[in-house]
Amino acid sequence: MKKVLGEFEELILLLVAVQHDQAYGLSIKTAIEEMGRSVNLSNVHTTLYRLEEKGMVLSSMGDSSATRGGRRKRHFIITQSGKIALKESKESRLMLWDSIPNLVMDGI
Amino acid sequence: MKKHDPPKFADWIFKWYCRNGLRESILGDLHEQFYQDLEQKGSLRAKFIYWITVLKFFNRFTINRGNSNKNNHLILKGYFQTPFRFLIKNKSYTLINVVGLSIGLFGCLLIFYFLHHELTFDRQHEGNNIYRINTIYADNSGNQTKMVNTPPMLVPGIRGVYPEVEKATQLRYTLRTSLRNENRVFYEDYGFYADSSFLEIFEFPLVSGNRKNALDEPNSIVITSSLAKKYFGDQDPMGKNIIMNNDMSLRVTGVLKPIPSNSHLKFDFLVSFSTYVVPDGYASDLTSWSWLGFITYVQLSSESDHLAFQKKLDDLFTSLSSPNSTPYKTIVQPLRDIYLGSTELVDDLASHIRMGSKYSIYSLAIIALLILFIACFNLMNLTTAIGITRAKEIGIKKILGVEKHKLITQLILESVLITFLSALLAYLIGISIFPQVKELLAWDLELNGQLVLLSIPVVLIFILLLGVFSGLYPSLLLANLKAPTAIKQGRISNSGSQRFSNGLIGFQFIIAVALIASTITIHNQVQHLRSMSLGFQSEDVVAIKLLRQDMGRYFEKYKQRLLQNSQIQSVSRSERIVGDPWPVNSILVDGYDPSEYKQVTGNLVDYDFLETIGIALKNGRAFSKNFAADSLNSIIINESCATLLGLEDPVGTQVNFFSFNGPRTIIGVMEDFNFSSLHNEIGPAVVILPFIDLEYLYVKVTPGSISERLDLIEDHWNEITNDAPLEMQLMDDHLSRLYKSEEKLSFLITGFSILAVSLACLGLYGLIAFVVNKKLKEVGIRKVLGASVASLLLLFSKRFIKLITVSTIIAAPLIHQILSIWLDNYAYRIEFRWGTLAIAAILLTVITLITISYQTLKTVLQNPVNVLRDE
Repeated sequence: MKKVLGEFEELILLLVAVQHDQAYGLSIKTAIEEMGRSVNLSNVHTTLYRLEEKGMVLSSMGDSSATRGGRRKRHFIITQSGKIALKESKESRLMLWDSIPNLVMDGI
Repeated sequence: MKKHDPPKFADWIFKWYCRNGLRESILGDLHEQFYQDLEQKGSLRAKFIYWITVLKFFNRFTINRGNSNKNNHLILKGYFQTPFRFLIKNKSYTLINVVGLSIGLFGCLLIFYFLHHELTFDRQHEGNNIYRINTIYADNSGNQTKMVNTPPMLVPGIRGVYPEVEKATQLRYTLRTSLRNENRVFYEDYGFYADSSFLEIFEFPLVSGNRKNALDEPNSIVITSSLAKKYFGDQDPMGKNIIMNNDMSLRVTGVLKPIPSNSHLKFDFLVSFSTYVVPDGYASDLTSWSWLGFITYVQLSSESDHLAFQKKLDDLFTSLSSPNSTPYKTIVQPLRDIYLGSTELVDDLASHIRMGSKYSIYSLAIIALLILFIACFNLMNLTTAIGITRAKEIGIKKILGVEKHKLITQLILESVLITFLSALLAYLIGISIFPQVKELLAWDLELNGQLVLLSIPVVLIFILLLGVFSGLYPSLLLANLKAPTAIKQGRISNSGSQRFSNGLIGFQFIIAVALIASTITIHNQVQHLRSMSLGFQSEDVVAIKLLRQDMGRYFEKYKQRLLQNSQIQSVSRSERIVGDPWPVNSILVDGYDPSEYKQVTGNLVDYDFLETIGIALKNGRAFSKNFAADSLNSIIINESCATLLGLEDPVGTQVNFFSFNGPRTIIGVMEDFNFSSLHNEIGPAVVILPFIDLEYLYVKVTPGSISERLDLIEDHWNEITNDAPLEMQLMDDHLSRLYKSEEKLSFLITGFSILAVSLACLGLYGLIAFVVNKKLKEVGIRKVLGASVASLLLLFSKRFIKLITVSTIIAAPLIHQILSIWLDNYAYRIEFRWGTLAIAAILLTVITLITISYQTLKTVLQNPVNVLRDE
């Protein structure tokens, strides 16, 4: 069955790929906020768990820091099926971009 | 700058709901974010965001679903399995608790049903805003009699006159009535004359007929379906005829469902009020404003104030009364107060109206609570005792990492399980023997499924509380043990638990002493009443209740016939039977000022009455046929009446008695005798010869075979009347009925005391095993050192003897107070004796010692080697 990515899921998955090996809940949330979009930490986590459930990311316990009270981070990395999903999603977008008649996007 | 930390409480909430695997990383993120926010946005916003985030995290990924999803049912199973195993292993413990508790619960269940019945009287008419009008009748010297009855003009006088009265109705008792239908004839004692408003005010459900007009026409009768079955079998009774008292034909115009036992009105049939005719010879008629012979109910409009209405009625009576007499006052009594709030009201003929007493309700409720306490304390005590020997088990569990709250849950679950099993057993016992119990206690109530269902949620909540309550102390005690000490010692030596258990046993002893002392006192009081001289002879007197018509028709002939037999000594009759209340009337010495009216009770009696009942005359003579004037203007008074009237030498004095045909001459003075029950002191009483047909016939027979004499009386009656029904009763039986409520109370208290004492003993029996077990070695050493068996027995008994002594001392003032209040109800009462308390305490001590003797003797008598060799 083909797994469909939601818009927010796709964003999170992209960021997991971007922050390769260093992605965890708060880092992704910070990245989203830097893009000018506000989001609650719980939404980020929940989406990560959902992606994990779909088999698109994998999690493992990582390092900790003082501000965390010695608690370890849960790092996420993208899996093969995650990569395929991202790629498919990108290709379908590109296809759509290509089919836009030239004059529509003129003047931007 | 002040250092800020993430909100602790939010953390606590998060840890509580979040599952283990995610807790660490999420909490880390949360904290990291918090410190970032703290720098950028300030503490307030940081905390706010923290809280919001914690709350928003609550979703299906994070919430804790037990330790693991797969194991849930196993854990649940474990929760129940361990207690079950424990209960099966300790059979005697389980048995004692289950039996004890179920008996206790059974007692409570019975009392619950009884109380429910008593407290739901007349509920079916609730919302109809019904009131009964009672009358206060006072003489000029201030003596008051509060009566249920009202004069016959009251209802016509208020209907349509007062705007707040929506409906009004009055009832008149039917006296003993014979109803006949073709071949079936029975006496019926419970009936009323009533009009259609009665059925509209009291909406007793009708099977057939129209409540708006069923009782409008003269010669109509409405019967209950049980009466219909008795007379008509399976036929439809509507429109059929019933002959009343052999001379009046009534048409059935309605059939009622059986009147529920929790209705204060007790009747099997209603005859239309328009049928009622005042019997010949009565001094009053239906236009009277003074004849207190009816019962009035009104339905008031919902916004009206019944006390304001009562004031209006008082004004009405004042405006109607003659200047010389004190006007009646009224009590407008709400329906819901009638059953339990009428003890001080006198009823002209009490048998048609059920009256309850708050007193018996309170005492039963208290007894139920006490019994429950005893059963519950047993459970607590035994759980603690057995728990102390389980220290090893608990210690090992703790070491294996069982959490404290799980231990507590397990221990509490054990006691909840016991209470649950007991409740189940109690229901089984209850439902299976309810009919017998009902019979035994002469309870007038039905056990219906609805009531059983109603009690189930109550009982469920109740046993849950009971179980938790009884298991709480022992489980806390055990769960707080330090594992190493628990394992090393194998038991706890906790002086706290000893005090706790002493407290519980002491409380049980207080209850037991109180109940035993009450039982003895109540029993003594009843004996006292029965052994008192009544002032007349009730032995060998047969009392027969007859239809007035039959009495008028057959009396003289029947009396002559009977007197021809040597076994019959004398025959007489009266209006009211001795033992039932007599009606109150006024008396005035002729020539005195009318303000000197006094209240006396009066009865109509025939010739030979004093001789038949064996009442002695102090002065003067009895009624005699030789004095023709006797039947019109003679009167006999008792000593109390003479004292009341202030007459030194009453014989020959003229008095006015009520409104009966002018002044009467006192021809004799009777010695005081107890014409009513011994609850009351002997009051002033008078008797006059009858002017109407009477109800009660008395036959005094010679001593000897009573059944032979009863046959004789019946045979003569049948010969004269062609087999009219006849109901005979020995005067002694009739009188003992007066003390039925005392005997019932005595019986109940005795039963419940025995129950309570046996429950307490059962608990002691269970407890002593543990106590003895703890001291096995001590006993062994003492024996080796030369202690005697007696001194060892004393060692174990001392604790209980001390407890009983202390409990008795604590209970003494309480018992004295309660029993004195109860005894004050009686005009002829015994004094409360402190000796009773001593007897109760001694009895309890003996029972206790016997209870513990088996276990203690077994321990004391065994060879000390057996206990001392393995150490």
